[in-house]
Amino acid sequence: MAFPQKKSDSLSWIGSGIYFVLLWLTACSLGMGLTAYVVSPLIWLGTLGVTLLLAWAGSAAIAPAMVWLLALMWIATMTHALPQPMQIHNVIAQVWAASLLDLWVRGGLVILMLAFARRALKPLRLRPAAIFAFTVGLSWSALGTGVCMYSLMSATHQV
Amino acid sequence: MDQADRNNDFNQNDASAKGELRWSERSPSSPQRPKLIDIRFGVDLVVTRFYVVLMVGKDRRDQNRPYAVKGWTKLGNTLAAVLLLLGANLAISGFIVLSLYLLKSMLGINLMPGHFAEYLKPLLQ
Repeated sequence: MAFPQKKSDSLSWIGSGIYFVLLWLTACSLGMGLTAYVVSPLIWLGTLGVTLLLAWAGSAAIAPAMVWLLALMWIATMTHALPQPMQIHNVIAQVWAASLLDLWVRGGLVILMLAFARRALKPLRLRPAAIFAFTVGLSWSALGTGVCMYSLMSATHQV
Repeated sequence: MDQADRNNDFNQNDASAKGELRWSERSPSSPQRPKLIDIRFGVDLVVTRFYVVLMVGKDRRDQNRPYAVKGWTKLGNTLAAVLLLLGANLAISGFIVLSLYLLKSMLGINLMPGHFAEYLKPLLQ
Protein backbone atom coordinates (compact mmCIF):
# COMPACT_ATOMS: atom_id res chain seq x y z
CA MET A 1 0.00 0.00 0.00
CA ALA A 2 1.40 3.41 -1.00
CA PHE A 3 0.66 6.74 0.62
CA PRO A 4 -0.01 9.83 -1.50
CA GLN A 5 3.09 11.90 -2.23
CA LYS A 6 1.98 14.27 -5.01
CA LYS A 7 -1.10 16.48 -5.37
CA SER A 8 -2.45 14.28 -8.20
CA ASP A 9 -2.09 11.22 -5.93
CA SER A 10 -4.14 12.93 -3.22
CA LEU A 11 -6.82 13.83 -5.78
CA SER A 12 -7.06 10.23 -6.98
CA TRP A 13 -7.30 9.09 -3.34
CA ILE A 14 -10.20 11.52 -2.80
CA GLY A 15 -11.85 10.31 -6.02
CA SER A 16 -11.52 6.69 -4.92
CA GLY A 17 -12.94 7.57 -1.50
CA ILE A 18 -16.00 9.25 -3.05
CA TYR A 19 -16.44 6.28 -5.43
CA PHE A 20 -16.46 3.76 -2.58
CA VAL A 21 -18.77 5.85 -0.39
CA LEU A 22 -21.23 6.01 -3.32
CA LEU A 23 -20.82 2.27 -3.93
CA TRP A 24 -21.48 1.52 -0.26
CA LEU A 25 -24.60 3.73 -0.16
CA THR A 26 -26.00 2.22 -3.39
CA ALA A 27 -25.36 -1.33 -2.18
CA CYS A 28 -26.95 -0.42 1.17
CA SER A 29 -30.10 0.84 -0.60
CA LEU A 30 -30.13 -2.36 -2.69
CA GLY A 31 -30.00 -4.41 0.54
CA MET A 32 -32.97 -2.41 1.84
CA GLY A 33 -34.84 -2.98 -1.43
CA LEU A 34 -34.26 -6.74 -1.41
CA THR A 35 -35.40 -6.94 2.22
CA ALA A 36 -38.53 -4.93 1.38
CA TYR A 37 -39.40 -7.44 -1.34
CA VAL A 38 -38.81 -10.34 1.12
CA VAL A 39 -36.73 -12.26 -1.42
CA SER A 40 -36.06 -15.96 -0.83
CA PRO A 41 -32.74 -17.21 0.67
CA LEU A 42 -31.92 -18.72 -2.73
CA ILE A 43 -32.05 -15.28 -4.36
CA TRP A 44 -29.91 -13.86 -1.54
CA LEU A 45 -27.35 -16.64 -2.10
CA GLY A 46 -27.33 -15.95 -5.85
CA THR A 47 -26.89 -12.21 -5.28
CA LEU A 48 -23.99 -12.75 -2.90
CA GLY A 49 -22.46 -15.15 -5.46
CA VAL A 50 -22.77 -12.48 -8.15
CA THR A 51 -20.97 -9.95 -5.91
CA LEU A 52 -18.18 -12.52 -5.42
CA LEU A 53 -17.93 -13.00 -9.18
CA LEU A 54 -17.85 -9.23 -9.78
CA ALA A 55 -15.15 -8.74 -7.15
CA TRP A 56 -13.09 -11.58 -8.66
CA ALA A 57 -13.50 -11.00 -12.40
CA GLY A 58 -14.27 -7.25 -12.57
CA SER A 59 -15.76 -6.02 -15.84
CA ALA A 60 -15.69 -9.55 -17.33
CA ALA A 61 -18.53 -10.44 -14.92
CA ILE A 62 -20.88 -7.65 -16.07
CA ALA A 63 -22.68 -9.85 -18.64
CA PRO A 64 -23.55 -12.77 -16.26
CA ALA A 65 -24.45 -10.32 -13.47
CA MET A 66 -26.79 -8.36 -15.75
CA VAL A 67 -28.42 -11.62 -16.90
CA TRP A 68 -28.98 -12.56 -13.22
CA LEU A 69 -30.56 -9.16 -12.53
CA LEU A 70 -32.76 -9.43 -15.63
CA ALA A 71 -33.93 -12.90 -14.54
CA LEU A 72 -34.79 -11.53 -11.07
CA MET A 73 -36.76 -8.67 -12.58
CA TRP A 74 -38.69 -11.06 -14.81
CA ILE A 75 -39.51 -13.29 -11.79
CA ALA A 76 -40.65 -10.21 -9.82
CA THR A 77 -42.84 -9.04 -12.71
CA MET A 78 -44.38 -12.44 -13.38
CA THR A 79 -45.17 -13.03 -9.70
CA HIS A 80 -46.45 -9.45 -9.28
CA ALA A 81 -43.98 -8.93 -6.41
CA LEU A 82 -44.61 -5.97 -4.12
CA PRO A 83 -42.52 -4.37 -1.37
CA GLN A 84 -43.56 -5.55 2.13
CA PRO A 85 -45.56 -2.51 3.31
CA MET A 86 -47.78 -2.50 0.21
CA GLN A 87 -50.89 -4.65 -0.10
CA ILE A 88 -51.72 -6.24 -3.43
CA HIS A 89 -55.27 -4.83 -3.56
CA ASN A 90 -54.67 -1.22 -2.61
CA VAL A 91 -51.54 -0.45 -4.63
CA ILE A 92 -51.82 1.23 -8.02
CA ALA A 93 -49.91 -0.11 -11.05
CA GLN A 94 -47.79 3.04 -11.36
CA VAL A 95 -46.33 2.63 -7.87
CA TRP A 96 -45.72 -1.09 -8.42
CA ALA A 97 -43.88 -0.49 -11.74
CA ALA A 98 -41.92 2.46 -10.36
CA SER A 99 -40.74 0.44 -7.33
CA LEU A 100 -39.59 -2.43 -9.59
CA LEU A 101 -37.78 -0.05 -11.96
CA ASP A 102 -36.15 1.62 -8.96
CA LEU A 103 -34.86 -1.75 -7.73
CA TRP A 104 -33.61 -2.57 -11.24
CA VAL A 105 -31.69 0.71 -11.51
CA ARG A 106 -30.17 0.21 -8.04
CA GLY A 107 -29.08 -3.34 -8.96
CA GLY A 108 -27.59 -2.17 -12.26
CA LEU A 109 -25.66 0.63 -10.56
CA VAL A 110 -24.22 -1.74 -7.94
CA ILE A 111 -23.15 -4.19 -10.69
CA LEU A 112 -21.38 -1.49 -12.72
CA MET A 113 -19.75 0.14 -9.71
CA LEU A 114 -18.50 -3.20 -8.36
CA ALA A 115 -17.23 -4.19 -11.81
CA PHE A 116 -15.10 -1.05 -12.11
CA ALA A 117 -14.01 -0.98 -8.45
CA ARG A 118 -10.52 -2.20 -9.45
CA ARG A 119 -9.88 0.98 -11.42
CA ALA A 120 -10.86 3.10 -8.42
CA LEU A 121 -8.52 1.04 -6.23
CA LYS A 122 -5.52 1.63 -8.53
CA PRO A 123 -4.04 4.51 -6.49
CA LEU A 124 -3.79 2.18 -3.46
CA ARG A 125 -1.65 -0.30 -5.45
CA LEU A 126 -3.11 -3.30 -3.67
CA ARG A 127 -2.51 -6.96 -4.53
CA PRO A 128 -5.36 -8.78 -6.39
CA ALA A 129 -6.27 -10.81 -3.27
CA ALA A 130 -6.53 -7.62 -1.20
CA ILE A 131 -8.68 -5.94 -3.89
CA PHE A 132 -11.00 -8.98 -3.87
CA ALA A 133 -11.27 -8.99 -0.07
CA PHE A 134 -11.86 -5.23 0.09
CA THR A 135 -14.57 -5.27 -2.61
CA VAL A 136 -16.38 -8.28 -1.12
CA GLY A 137 -16.16 -6.84 2.41
CA LEU A 138 -17.48 -3.47 1.26
CA SER A 139 -20.42 -4.84 -0.74
CA TRP A 140 -21.45 -7.46 1.82
CA SER A 141 -21.23 -4.99 4.71
CA ALA A 142 -23.37 -2.52 2.75
CA LEU A 143 -25.98 -5.16 1.88
CA GLY A 144 -26.03 -6.35 5.51
CA THR A 145 -26.42 -2.80 6.82
CA GLY A 146 -29.30 -2.29 4.37
CA VAL A 147 -31.04 -5.41 5.69
CA CYS A 148 -30.59 -4.29 9.33
CA MET A 149 -31.74 -0.72 8.59
CA TYR A 150 -34.89 -1.88 6.80
CA SER A 151 -35.71 -4.38 9.56
CA LEU A 152 -35.26 -1.68 12.23
CA MET A 153 -37.35 0.81 10.26
CA SER A 154 -40.21 -1.63 9.70
CA ALA A 155 -40.11 -2.72 13.39
CA THR A 156 -40.31 0.94 14.50
CA HIS A 157 -43.28 1.60 12.20
CA GLN A 158 -45.16 -1.45 13.50
CA VAL A 159 -44.72 -0.26 17.10
CA MET B 1 -2.16 7.60 -46.61
CA ASP B 2 1.61 7.51 -46.09
CA GLN B 3 4.25 5.87 -48.25
CA ALA B 4 4.41 2.68 -46.13
CA ASP B 5 0.62 2.20 -46.43
CA ARG B 6 0.74 2.76 -50.17
CA ASN B 7 3.53 0.24 -50.57
CA ASN B 8 1.67 -2.26 -48.42
CA ASP B 9 -1.56 -1.79 -50.43
CA PHE B 10 0.34 -2.16 -53.67
CA ASN B 11 2.09 -5.32 -52.52
CA GLN B 12 -1.16 -6.89 -51.26
CA ASN B 13 -3.15 -6.01 -54.40
CA ASP B 14 -0.38 -7.22 -56.63
CA ALA B 15 -0.01 -10.49 -54.75
CA SER B 16 -3.80 -11.04 -54.43
CA ALA B 17 -4.17 -10.53 -58.18
CA LYS B 18 -1.68 -13.30 -58.73
CA GLY B 19 -3.47 -15.43 -56.10
CA GLU B 20 -0.27 -15.76 -54.15
CA LEU B 21 -0.97 -14.04 -50.84
CA ARG B 22 -1.90 -16.39 -48.02
CA TRP B 23 -2.70 -15.68 -44.34
CA SER B 24 0.40 -17.39 -43.10
CA GLU B 25 2.61 -15.53 -45.57
CA ARG B 26 1.56 -12.04 -44.45
CA SER B 27 4.20 -9.97 -42.83
CA PRO B 28 3.60 -9.76 -39.07
CA SER B 29 4.62 -6.11 -39.23
CA SER B 30 1.82 -5.13 -41.69
CA PRO B 31 -0.13 -2.18 -40.21
CA GLN B 32 -3.60 -2.85 -38.71
CA ARG B 33 -6.19 -0.35 -39.93
CA PRO B 34 -8.79 0.91 -37.41
CA LYS B 35 -12.17 -0.78 -37.85
CA LEU B 36 -15.56 0.95 -38.13
CA ILE B 37 -16.73 -1.07 -35.11
CA ASP B 38 -14.23 -2.71 -32.77
CA ILE B 39 -15.76 -4.08 -29.57
CA ARG B 40 -13.82 -6.53 -27.41
CA PHE B 41 -14.74 -7.77 -23.95
CA GLY B 42 -14.36 -10.81 -21.72
CA VAL B 43 -17.11 -12.91 -20.14
CA ASP B 44 -16.21 -14.75 -16.95
CA LEU B 45 -18.42 -17.77 -16.16
CA VAL B 46 -16.49 -19.02 -13.10
CA VAL B 47 -15.62 -22.38 -14.67
CA THR B 48 -14.29 -20.81 -17.85
CA ARG B 49 -13.63 -17.45 -19.43
CA PHE B 50 -14.58 -16.38 -22.94
CA TYR B 51 -13.72 -13.38 -25.03
CA VAL B 52 -16.14 -11.72 -27.41
CA VAL B 53 -14.93 -9.70 -30.40
CA LEU B 54 -17.21 -7.80 -32.78
CA MET B 55 -15.54 -6.08 -35.71
CA VAL B 56 -16.96 -4.37 -38.76
CA GLY B 57 -14.76 -2.90 -41.47
CA LYS B 58 -13.93 -2.86 -45.15
CA ASP B 59 -13.21 -6.37 -46.34
CA ARG B 60 -9.55 -6.47 -47.28
CA ARG B 61 -8.99 -9.93 -45.83
CA ASP B 62 -7.50 -12.83 -47.64
CA GLN B 63 -10.09 -15.60 -48.07
CA ASN B 64 -7.63 -18.41 -47.40
CA ARG B 65 -7.26 -19.65 -43.83
CA PRO B 66 -3.97 -21.07 -42.55
CA TYR B 67 -5.90 -24.23 -41.57
CA ALA B 68 -9.02 -25.92 -42.92
CA VAL B 69 -12.18 -26.02 -40.73
CA LYS B 70 -14.44 -28.90 -41.65
CA GLY B 71 -16.41 -31.85 -40.27
CA TRP B 72 -17.31 -31.85 -36.56
CA THR B 73 -15.33 -28.67 -35.89
CA LYS B 74 -17.36 -26.72 -38.45
CA LEU B 75 -20.62 -28.15 -37.04
CA GLY B 76 -19.55 -27.30 -33.48
CA ASN B 77 -18.56 -23.77 -34.50
CA THR B 78 -21.92 -23.21 -36.21
CA LEU B 79 -23.87 -24.63 -33.25
CA ALA B 80 -21.93 -22.51 -30.72
CA ALA B 81 -22.43 -19.36 -32.82
CA VAL B 82 -26.18 -20.02 -33.17
CA LEU B 83 -26.58 -20.69 -29.42
CA LEU B 84 -24.57 -17.58 -28.52
CA LEU B 85 -26.57 -15.38 -30.89
CA LEU B 86 -29.88 -16.83 -29.63
CA GLY B 87 -28.83 -16.32 -26.00
CA ALA B 88 -27.75 -12.72 -26.62
CA ASN B 89 -30.94 -12.08 -28.60
CA LEU B 90 -33.10 -13.51 -25.80
CA ALA B 91 -31.34 -11.42 -23.13
CA ILE B 92 -31.59 -8.19 -25.15
CA SER B 93 -35.24 -8.84 -26.10
CA GLY B 94 -36.07 -9.67 -22.47
CA PHE B 95 -34.45 -6.42 -21.37
CA ILE B 96 -36.31 -4.29 -23.94
CA VAL B 97 -39.73 -5.92 -23.40
CA LEU B 98 -39.56 -5.74 -19.59
CA SER B 99 -38.22 -2.18 -19.43
CA LEU B 100 -40.86 -0.93 -21.90
CA TYR B 101 -43.62 -2.78 -20.00
CA LEU B 102 -42.56 -1.33 -16.63
CA LEU B 103 -42.17 2.18 -18.10
CA LYS B 104 -45.63 1.94 -19.68
CA SER B 105 -47.12 0.78 -16.36
CA MET B 106 -45.31 3.55 -14.48
CA LEU B 107 -46.79 6.16 -16.83
CA GLY B 108 -50.27 4.74 -16.20
CA ILE B 109 -50.85 3.57 -19.78
CA ASN B 110 -53.18 0.57 -19.72
CA LEU B 111 -53.29 -1.23 -23.07
CA MET B 112 -55.02 -4.41 -21.87
CA PRO B 113 -57.09 -5.20 -18.77
CA GLY B 114 -55.36 -7.28 -16.07
CA HIS B 115 -51.71 -8.09 -15.44
CA PHE B 116 -49.04 -9.04 -18.01
CA ALA B 117 -48.41 -12.41 -16.30
CA GLU B 118 -52.04 -13.46 -16.77
CA TYR B 119 -51.52 -13.41 -20.56
CA LEU B 120 -48.28 -15.42 -20.38
CA LYS B 121 -49.59 -18.12 -18.02
CA PRO B 122 -51.56 -20.05 -20.68
CA LEU B 123 -48.50 -20.03 -22.93
CA LEU B 124 -46.28 -21.47 -20.20
CA GLN B 125 -48.73 -24.20 -19.19
